[in-house]
Amino acid sequence: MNHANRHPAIERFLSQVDERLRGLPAERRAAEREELAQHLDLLVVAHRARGMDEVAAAAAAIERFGRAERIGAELATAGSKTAEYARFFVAYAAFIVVAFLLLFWSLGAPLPPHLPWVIAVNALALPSAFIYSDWRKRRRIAAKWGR
Amino acid sequence: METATPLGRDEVRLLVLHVLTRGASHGYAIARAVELKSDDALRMGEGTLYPVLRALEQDDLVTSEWETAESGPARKVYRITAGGRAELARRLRDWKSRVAALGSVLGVDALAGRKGA
Repeated sequence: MNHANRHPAIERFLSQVDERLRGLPAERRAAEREELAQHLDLLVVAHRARGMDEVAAAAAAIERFGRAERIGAELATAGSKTAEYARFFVAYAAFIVVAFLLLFWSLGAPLPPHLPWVIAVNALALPSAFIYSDWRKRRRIAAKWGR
Repeated sequence: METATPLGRDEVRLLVLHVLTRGASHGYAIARAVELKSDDALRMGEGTLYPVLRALEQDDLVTSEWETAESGPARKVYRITAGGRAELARRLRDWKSRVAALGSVLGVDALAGRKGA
């Protein structure tokens, strides 16, 4: 089945997923869409074989995937260590900034002029060390299993 | 069974790895294998399956490749890696311990009569 004879509801679903994949390289984006399209086509064929009409079969196939926006967003970030690291980095940096500001506020002390540097070093050092260690671990595992 | 039980992400991860120990497979076939084997008692939501497959690829537990068949379009086929087999063995051990512990509390032998993995 190609996109010309695919039910419009399925094409619409695929476009909604694709919309969420905008940040991915074009090749991966096309591959994700093609894989989902093939899966949906096979579901439609199976539903039709059980006696459903075309509209019901397309709806039942889409229903198995859930909301297009959700699966699109998940595929856009799934398996992406970069996205995972970025979230960790931002969360930790925010925590450090708030912690330092609360500390000085509770002490009633004036903010020292070098505070931005202290915050920057603390906010960057630990996440960087963690990410480097995770990267090393993943490299070791890949080497161990020959991948 | 009237209503299939939707699976959680960890369960999908475990089952995908298990299905792939039987041989290379594509997404649709993986989902159908689980449903067939469970007599339609378990439902592998496709909205969970593909993000889990991406995560397994990222963790080097499965590999994927587009393969062209003699007829029909190229399909993306997944294979389990040695690391994936080790991960599956570890998860199965954990799962059995958990089921056995629950069985002890409930006074039933939940794994009785089951084949070893």
